[in-house]
Amino acid sequence: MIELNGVSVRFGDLTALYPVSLSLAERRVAVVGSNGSGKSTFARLLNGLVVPSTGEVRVDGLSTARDARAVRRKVGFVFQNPDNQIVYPLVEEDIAFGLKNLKLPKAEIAARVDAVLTRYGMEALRTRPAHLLSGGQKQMLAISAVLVMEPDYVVFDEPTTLLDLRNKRRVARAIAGLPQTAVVVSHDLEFLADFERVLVFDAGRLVCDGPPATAIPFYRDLMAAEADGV
Amino acid sequence: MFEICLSRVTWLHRVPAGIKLSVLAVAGAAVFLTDDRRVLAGLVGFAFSLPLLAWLPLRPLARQVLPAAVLIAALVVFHLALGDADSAVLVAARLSTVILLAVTLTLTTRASAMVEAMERILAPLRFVGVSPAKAGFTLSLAIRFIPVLFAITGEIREAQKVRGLERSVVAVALPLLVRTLRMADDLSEAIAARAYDGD
Repeated sequence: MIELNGVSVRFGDLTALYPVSLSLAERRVAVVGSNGSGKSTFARLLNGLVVPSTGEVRVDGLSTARDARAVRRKVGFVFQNPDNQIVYPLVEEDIAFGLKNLKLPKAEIAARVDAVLTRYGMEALRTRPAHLLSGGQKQMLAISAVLVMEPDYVVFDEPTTLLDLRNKRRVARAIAGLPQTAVVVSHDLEFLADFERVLVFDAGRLVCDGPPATAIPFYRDLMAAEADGV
Repeated sequence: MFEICLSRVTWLHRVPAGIKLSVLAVAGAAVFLTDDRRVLAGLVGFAFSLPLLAWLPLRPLARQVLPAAVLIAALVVFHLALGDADSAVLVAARLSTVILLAVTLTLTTRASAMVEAMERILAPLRFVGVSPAKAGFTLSLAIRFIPVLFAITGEIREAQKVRGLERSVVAVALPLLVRTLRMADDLSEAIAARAYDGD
């Protein structure tokens, strides 16, 4: 379970996230909010990419501030732009990168790379240079490269924002099929409708926390009110 | 389109990366250290014949060599303009040898193999504080991001062309710098998120 106790984040004089306390035990948690609402900061807190200014984030009892390395092995993170997270030139090399960091034996690395390429239908792309892939293929590579590490939790920061409808569906299907707990930051409300819990952020504050049936209409009303200047 | 390692495997792909890197280092050093025309001719001949002997497709080879060829041609013209034909030949021979061998190496060697070879070669430097793993990883990142930077430059050029600024170096360089720095920031987070500890 991921637990946040009195967590706030400040960058200099700017408060990116006001104190928030909650536990994430559901399998599918969505995070929504306008640009600059604090949702990406919240997501980055979950695997220690951002350290709280006050309070503590714990993942299965491990503190993200003190046990960052152990936490990052438990919590995978998929970023919005796959181009900025693919680190090796070839598809199979990039998928193997995280496994090498885990110091796994070569045979296990090869087996896991094979398995993930098969699972996401990317065998034919195995030796393809990453920069020659389409946007959807790059995002699937970025997701595969995180999932191959078999994290207990996966955080997705706007994974479908740069994708066309077909690839959005492909990524949504991949996320839906995950056995792990997934925390997904997204503006795509249709995609989040089947989630168990939705957190709504606005101006650095958690303003709504509930099932999609209540949280998504709340978010729509909030955005409509802001657009109308209310 | 920018090629990294060709997916079509040739016999040169199967030569260990360490050997290829060593040949590049030795030939690269030799071509600059020697003034003996016979040795130079031998090295130039070796550099030109290697891609042909390995049956590398000429188009990706030419695509990578062409920008450097333009630079070499400019240098040759410069030396000829100064009336120094001997230097013109030397510059052309030395640069074309190193560039051809380097391109042949990158087209026939995977980044991961190059990184592993580099880590082995640099291992003795661990005792003077150099991290072979970090040096190798830096090399792989450079290879990965060359085409990405080309693509970003193309996007920025297009955007500036619409505004009539395609000839302005600043209008292209400044957004490129900003995007590169932002990308570097994102990349460092992505690397950290994938359990990289630099060991």
